[in-house]
Amino acid sequence: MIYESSPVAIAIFASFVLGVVGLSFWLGRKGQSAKGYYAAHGEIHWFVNGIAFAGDYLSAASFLGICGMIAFYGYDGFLYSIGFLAGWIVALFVIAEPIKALGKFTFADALDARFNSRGIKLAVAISTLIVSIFYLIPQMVGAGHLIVPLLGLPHAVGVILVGVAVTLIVVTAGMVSTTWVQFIKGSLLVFFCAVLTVMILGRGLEVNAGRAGDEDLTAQVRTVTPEGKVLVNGQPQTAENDLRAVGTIHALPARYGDARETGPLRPLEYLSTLEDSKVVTWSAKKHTDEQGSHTTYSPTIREGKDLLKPGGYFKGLSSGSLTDRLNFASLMLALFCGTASLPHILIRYYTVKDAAAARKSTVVGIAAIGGFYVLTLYLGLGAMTSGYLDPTSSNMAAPLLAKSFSETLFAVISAIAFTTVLGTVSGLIMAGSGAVAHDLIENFCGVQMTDHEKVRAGKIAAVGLGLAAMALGILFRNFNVSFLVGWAFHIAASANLPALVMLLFWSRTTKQGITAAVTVGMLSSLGWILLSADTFEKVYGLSRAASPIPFSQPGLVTIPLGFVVLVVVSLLTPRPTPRQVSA
Amino acid sequence: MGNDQSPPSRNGASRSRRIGMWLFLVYVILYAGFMGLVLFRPDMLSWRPFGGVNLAIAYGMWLFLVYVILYAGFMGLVLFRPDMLSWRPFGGVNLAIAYGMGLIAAAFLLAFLYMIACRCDATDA
Repeated sequence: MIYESSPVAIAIFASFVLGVVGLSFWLGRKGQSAKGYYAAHGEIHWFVNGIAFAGDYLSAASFLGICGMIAFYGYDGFLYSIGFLAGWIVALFVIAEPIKALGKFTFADALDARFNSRGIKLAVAISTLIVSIFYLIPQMVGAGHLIVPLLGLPHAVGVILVGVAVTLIVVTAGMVSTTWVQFIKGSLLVFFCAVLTVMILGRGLEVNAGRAGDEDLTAQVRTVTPEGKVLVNGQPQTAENDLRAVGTIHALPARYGDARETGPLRPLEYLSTLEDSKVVTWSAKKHTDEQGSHTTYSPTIREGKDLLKPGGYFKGLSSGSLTDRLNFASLMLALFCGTASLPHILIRYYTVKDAAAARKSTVVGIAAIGGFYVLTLYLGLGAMTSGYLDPTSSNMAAPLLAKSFSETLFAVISAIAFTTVLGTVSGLIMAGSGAVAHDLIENFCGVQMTDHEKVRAGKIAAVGLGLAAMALGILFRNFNVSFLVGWAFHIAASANLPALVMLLFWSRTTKQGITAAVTVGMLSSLGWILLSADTFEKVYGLSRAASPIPFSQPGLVTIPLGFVVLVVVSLLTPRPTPRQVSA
Repeated sequence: MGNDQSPPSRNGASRSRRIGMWLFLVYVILYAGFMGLVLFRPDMLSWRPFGGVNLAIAYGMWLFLVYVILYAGFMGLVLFRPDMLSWRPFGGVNLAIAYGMGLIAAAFLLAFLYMIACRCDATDA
């Protein structure tokens, strides 16, 4: 669909970005120590850190991705919400308390705290960089995709805008500014999503919402000709001849009689009423001929109760296919184990004073993140029935839902979606900067640096990573990058979690065991993914059947493999010294 | 259509009985295991599964186990009995939504309990 750029949206965008960059310069006006740059002096208050957890973790995948998935497919997006949140239980009960006692600035510090091993430093630094880059690419690509419809500017502009803003944030005040940007973003995100949810409940459900005339169930066709022209229903795409917005209620439950709207609904009533209603959903089918590539968007009237149960997106859950169920279980396991292993989440534990503060901040994080995920269900279903969905883009579901209420709210939500990217990307750049400057250069290579030089090395690394992030965001713009976030979880869970858990809870863990577990976990999960049917089809453009791998998500195999390798290698290598065990 | 008060099955009562029998069997196995330890390996009951760690970590492990059981139950339904998730226990929202929301609420409740339980260990308020 064609979007008109909104001056209000541009103004709010600009103020948010200038605001957070200005704040960073102000916070960084005093000179910094390495502890200040990497760990915000360990002085961040637990409540601020808790909301910053939410601001760090809730990326575009959570906000735009889940909302869009629920809007188009129903319940299954909520399974992602549940999966993402469950990982925080691992973080709180397994990781938060002990990891604060280990380590100084980075995740490699924690794993290496007892051993002082170059092998561990190298393996973990590389794993941090790989996970951070896989997580970074979809954020940058997503930022570009947001800018295109909202500001009418090219994709690369969005990518460069995020890259420059984030690099400035990190370079000026490191973890201090990163924390406050994430705190601001987390607060705004949860607050405005709550506002939007209240408005959704206040509006209730309406038959054929957002449309001036009768319900239109004719299919729509979008064609891209070999010359690159875009046609809609056979005619050139213009503001007057464009795809129609979709996503409406077809019929309310019988108890509403002839009424076309329900009026305000209570939270549970909204869900049960939708379940008893009929909804018009739209799906796409592609085919190519000599006239070009045609995507046909066709409506289907579906029972609400079929949309509010698993199986809309994860088809194997309703079809019973073993491969699909293995993939699903593997993905959920990776989300469960991966959250607590993400480097940009773990480094946040070093910004608070002590273990008690680490615990409290995780609880606050869980409350904010859990509350947000409850809201995503309402946002997704509200978008599904708003009459404002763009059939070509599930990522625009949340901003367009806001548009169904007002242009100002649309501008605010779009700007917040953009800040969402800023918050997560700054955390990722911090994690990567620590891996390069602190783990690799200072610790692995043994380069002696003064405190001031350590900070400078971190800032140079951040600039390098920022430039790399921009280049990758532009390079990958046409790839389907949504699976990259899942990959990051698999690699983090396979490489990092076995080493972290066994180090914390098994005294026989040796440094060779940790190095082997991280290396094997990382390589096996990465190798599995690169050889999987999904990658063959979506990245290489080859046939799925050519893939040697039985199912696409590696977690079910590679996470246990990490544990097995650690145990076997630890038992085969000399027992750690008592000093190492008690450290 | 309307509010379905019983699980969707051809014979709701026999389904409930089957589920009840499976749950009872699981409990019998757990109980037999415990009694086996008491009778034949009481030394193992002195084992400190979490390495004699501090209370905060011990509390964390138990609460974690509770959550894992709840979560595994949900995933079991999603993978093996998705039809049961359409059941509307109180005529309102279905089990898929109730259980999902319940897991989110449980995460927060367990986290809160953990914080309260560890307060005695806290070095700072």
